[in-house]
Amino acid sequence: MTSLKSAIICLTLFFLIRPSSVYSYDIPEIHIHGFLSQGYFWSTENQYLGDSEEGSFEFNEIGINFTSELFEDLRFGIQIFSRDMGEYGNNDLEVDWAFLDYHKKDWAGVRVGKIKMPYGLFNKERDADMLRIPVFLPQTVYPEGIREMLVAFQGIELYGSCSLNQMGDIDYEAFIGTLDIDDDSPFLTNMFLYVAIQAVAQGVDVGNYLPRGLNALQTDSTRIEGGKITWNTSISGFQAGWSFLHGKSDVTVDGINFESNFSIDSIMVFSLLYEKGDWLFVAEYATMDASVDVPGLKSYPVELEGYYAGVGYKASDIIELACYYGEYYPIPEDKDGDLFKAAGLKDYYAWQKDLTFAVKFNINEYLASKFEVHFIDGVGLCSLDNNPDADRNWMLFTGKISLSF
Amino acid sequence: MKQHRQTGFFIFLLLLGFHSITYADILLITNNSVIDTSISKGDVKRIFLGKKKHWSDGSPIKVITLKTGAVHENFMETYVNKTPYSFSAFWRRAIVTGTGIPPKSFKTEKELLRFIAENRGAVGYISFSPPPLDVKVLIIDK
Repeated sequence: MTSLKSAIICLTLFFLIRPSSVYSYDIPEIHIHGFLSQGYFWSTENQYLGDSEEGSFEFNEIGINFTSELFEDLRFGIQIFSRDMGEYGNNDLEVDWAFLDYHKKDWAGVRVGKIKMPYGLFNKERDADMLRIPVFLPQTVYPEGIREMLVAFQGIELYGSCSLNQMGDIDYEAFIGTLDIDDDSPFLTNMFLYVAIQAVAQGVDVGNYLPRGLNALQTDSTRIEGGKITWNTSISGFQAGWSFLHGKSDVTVDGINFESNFSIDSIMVFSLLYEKGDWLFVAEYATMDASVDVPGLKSYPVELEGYYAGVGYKASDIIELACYYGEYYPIPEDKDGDLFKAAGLKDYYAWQKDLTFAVKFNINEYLASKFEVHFIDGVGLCSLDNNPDADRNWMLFTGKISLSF
Repeated sequence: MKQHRQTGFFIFLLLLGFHSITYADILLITNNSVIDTSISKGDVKRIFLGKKKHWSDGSPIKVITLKTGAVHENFMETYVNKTPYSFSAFWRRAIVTGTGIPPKSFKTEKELLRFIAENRGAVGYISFSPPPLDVKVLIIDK
């Protein structure tokens, strides 16, 4: 990772300084773009992404990117990014993406470096909120808690586009690489919570684990591979997509003191999108089928399920409106919460149902403000550590101002 | 001279299949270096969305657009199946994900024509009118 960052810094400096004497070709044009946003969120009950009941301005994103076509068909780009979203991000500076892109044939290109993960319709642009009407992507399919699993990988990706003539065309991406998951990852903490809940249901003593949660002590680099296929159909504006991820990681866990293997058998997203004039209709369904193998004990499944459907409308050059409804289940076979009750928790930890209304005001080409309200039933996406005694029905309000150039 | 050129241009269009290139009152034009003489409507869309990047001889395509206006709106909705706003949003997505560099755009057809004439592989669109001799018309198959 350090060597990658060093290489990226060297390449960036190379671009910025550009000693003309070493070039025997025209100096390539460098495209510089960026974005900056500042938001506020407040929840009527429960803590979401941190201390939301008190209201929080810990909600921003800053990014700047440099892209250049070095030679014919060869491009390089890098984006430096920082964000704060409640308890996540904390404005640490990171390389969001940085890769070489060689695209000699329309049906086959290759990218090498740190690359945004192809997952669903909107994952690659999840941190650039000016590109969508809502402040939050539907959390039922794009949960912040597993962002680290989905945001980007280091490795190699093949991609391309093939015409199907009267049937439209197909875009594909296929990749293999590694992820770095922080040792205090909320994803891992939550994952072992669901393992413990199942263990309790099977009579296993997990000590004082519930509801405090566990801390993952150490994660080795996670291997991951997958891809995405998008069919742009012959029906104008209608596309269907399928994303697939598969991976494995070794995790050593504090609290129970065991070594385990975390295996993602599959994360899949099925996506539909229809764009007609000023209207946009979307629907996505996501599942995760994973397991934690504990040597000497057993394999515990970790399965998630989420879906949503939504509509967006550009009412004028200034005003855009959106609405979506989604549901999320951390243990899909326990949608009524019986296992949670057996573990001494309220049943509504077993789901989160979210009805969201959003409005975006395009102040000019570069500046926009947004407001949205979520009507939520359940706390399946909330941190148990922060919500040991959560309320079932609650609301979340957010506002944001975004600048992009 | 100008009248003769216009007459010749319209006869040329008739010979090529007038209906196939004018139903949006727009002409797709390229640099004279481009060897292709016709293209499918689906490939027009793929070119302007950055999915088709090479002409049939493998040479790179350089996409040019207008910034605003009725011709831009008409072209986007007829051939790219997007409003100018959603076309712009598509390329902004490419910028923040690193997956593409947006097409160069010009305020006027005159600027666009000059750029296309001077740059190998360039393609763009103008309103239906006799184009200058230093660019060529690309026929769009139905």
